[in-house]
Amino acid sequence: MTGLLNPKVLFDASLGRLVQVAGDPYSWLRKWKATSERRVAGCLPMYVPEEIVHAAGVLPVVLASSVGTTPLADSRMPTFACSLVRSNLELALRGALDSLDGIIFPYLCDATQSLHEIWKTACPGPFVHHVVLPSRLETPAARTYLLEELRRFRAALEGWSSREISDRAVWDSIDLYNANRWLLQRLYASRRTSPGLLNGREMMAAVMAGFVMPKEDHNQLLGQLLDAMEQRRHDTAGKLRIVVSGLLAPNPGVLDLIEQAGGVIVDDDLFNGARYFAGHAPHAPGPLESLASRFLNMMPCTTKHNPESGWANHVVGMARGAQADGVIFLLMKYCDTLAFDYPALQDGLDRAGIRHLLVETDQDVSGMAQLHTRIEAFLEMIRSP
Amino acid sequence: MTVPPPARLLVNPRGLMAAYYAEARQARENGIPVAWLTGMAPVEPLRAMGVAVVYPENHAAMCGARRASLELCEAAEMRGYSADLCSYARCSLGSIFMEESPVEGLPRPDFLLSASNFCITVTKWYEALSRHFGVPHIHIDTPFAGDAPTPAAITYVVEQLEDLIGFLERFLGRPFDHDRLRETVAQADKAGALWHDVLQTGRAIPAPFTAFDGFSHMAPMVAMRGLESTESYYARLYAEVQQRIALKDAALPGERFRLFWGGIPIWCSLKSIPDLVNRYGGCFVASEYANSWAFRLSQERPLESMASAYMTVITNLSLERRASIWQTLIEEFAVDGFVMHSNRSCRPGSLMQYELKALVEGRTGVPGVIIDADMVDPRAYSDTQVSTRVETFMRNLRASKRA
Repeated sequence: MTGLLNPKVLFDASLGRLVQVAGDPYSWLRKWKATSERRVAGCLPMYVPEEIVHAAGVLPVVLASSVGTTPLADSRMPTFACSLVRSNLELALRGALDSLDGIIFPYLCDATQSLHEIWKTACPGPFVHHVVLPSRLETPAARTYLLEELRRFRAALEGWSSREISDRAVWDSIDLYNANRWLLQRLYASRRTSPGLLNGREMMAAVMAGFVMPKEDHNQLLGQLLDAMEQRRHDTAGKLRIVVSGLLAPNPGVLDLIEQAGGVIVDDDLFNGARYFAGHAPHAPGPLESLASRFLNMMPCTTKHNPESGWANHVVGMARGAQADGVIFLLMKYCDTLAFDYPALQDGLDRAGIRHLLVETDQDVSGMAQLHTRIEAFLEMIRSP
Repeated sequence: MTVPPPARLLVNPRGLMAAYYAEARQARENGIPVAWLTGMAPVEPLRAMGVAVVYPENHAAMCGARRASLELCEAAEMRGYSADLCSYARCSLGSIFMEESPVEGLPRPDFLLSASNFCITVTKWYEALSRHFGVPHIHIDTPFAGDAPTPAAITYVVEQLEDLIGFLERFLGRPFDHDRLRETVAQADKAGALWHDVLQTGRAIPAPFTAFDGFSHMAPMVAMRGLESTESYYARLYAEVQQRIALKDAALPGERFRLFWGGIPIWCSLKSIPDLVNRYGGCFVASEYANSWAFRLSQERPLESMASAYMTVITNLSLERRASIWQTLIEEFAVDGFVMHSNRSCRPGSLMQYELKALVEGRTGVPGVIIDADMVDPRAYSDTQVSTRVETFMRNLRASKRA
């Protein structure tokens, strides 16, 4: 074990592990489950209060992986839903999600709401729960409603797991998750100051490994990685600083293309990125109040009612803060909320004088060659005065 | 066999609607504020305060019916709104950007009111409108009700309605008129009951009133709920349809197959499918869509009854509840087959349709067919493809009836 004290070895070992888990999450999960007594609950993106699931002794697993084609899902659902929704249905119908004992849907949009209903008949199981989160965040009524909905969720989990979920247990889980968020926030902060230490694909793996691994193990790996990184330097002279915005990058291929074209990713607001670990659950009279506060103070999100263009302003602010040379906006095909808010972002970035490129993504990677050309042209355009 | 087209009803909403929109366009001159509302937003508090209300969805449907929607959708796409977005929204935004409309357009709003019971699309669409016009936007979040709304969700919506009332008081600078609200709610309730009665007349065999009659007569129910003229309109319509029942006067003489329409009509090609099935003696006798507005309210508990009614719109309900609504209608109306509009624009209405079709067919033994189209974007509608599918379906129905 002494070899691990060498920062280089430590760095490679911890990063290698994260990349390996994120690369094939459900195979990893199957192996993990063979050694564990714990139940596993899949959580559709985004905003399932995982801490309550964890406090029930259940492992929450975030289902954010995409697959290529979705023939099985297409027989149960029209194709005009985003790749995330169709991929999850496809994976379940293929049996790739057999390690899950239950599944939890957060209310997010029309497509995830429909997926929840389809799931009940297409993939019935002992625990299929819909946490009907509010789409308004700014009113006291929304907080009261949310708290009741979280209590209903806790009660449903208690029924399923046949054990009481004490406040103490939820607080412990909150501590664990806050630590996880803090570690990931540090990782992202280091990227803003010295980008390129991890490339886009590795950074995404660092986040997404935590979508399946228990947070206890994930925290340990992140801690090791951060310690080892302190010694490292990376030369990014001449690279263009790029911010990636959107809800979810269905695959890391687009990040590779940005780097191949001479860009370095400095920040993002993706769910398989900064959105997942933004903020923290604060001190509050009770643990559910704490979780409600984190939710209601979330990073502005297109899936929520956004008076005053909160989301577009946030992305512009992020790009400014990261001193970005350009923003690449990933529009998941058929994601209505992103598509509706996009013109406001376009205006905001234009006004701020920040160059931007719209990239429509699907799970399908067949258009990668064309995308490569577009991203190269975009970076070239930024370079030419 | 050629069958004459369905006879027209004498009562029709055209004059009423024209007068209504003319009045709305005059509103500002008369010092009356104008609000834009989503199709199933809680309009009653606005009516009680005398606000003029208009409906972009209704306007978009009219643009579709007048074959003007394509150009308007494209205008929105030019401004960065994806062609995959709801065509009502694109049509509405395009009409604003181009300052064009085949039906004179809508008067500029002073504020906006949306409710998410149909979809999250309206939330984002109205945010875009709010940015464009620089006017306040009140959004009512109606949490997905599943099998039934939770008490907490009802309370949440009631509180938002109270906030809406507070907004109206501040915006209009006068106290809210709770007595007028009760009257408005009572009026809307009566209109809802009458509309339900009108739709129920389709149960007679042969049907005197069709689902497509419903689509052309629902406009006052959507846009003019809570007004006395609406109530009297449906009373007259109901009386006329009753007379036709007495005379055994069929909407489609020689009715052989009673059909059910599922989903929003294809406004940009409204008559092609009913005309096609008519040739086989098929008549659409019911729909779940027109029934969406046949809801009841209570003047004893105006806000609670509104919260509950607006949350239990079919698009805000579980697959199981939808299947049971379909089953009831199919059985009550003695339906032989159903046509489901898979509407590219409408994800909450369309994404669970494959499962819904399977459940309904399994429980009722009545077969159905799914057609791919869009409510007002003609690019998503292929007449040949749809005709072929519907004709095959009708031939199969005919064959099974003979057997």
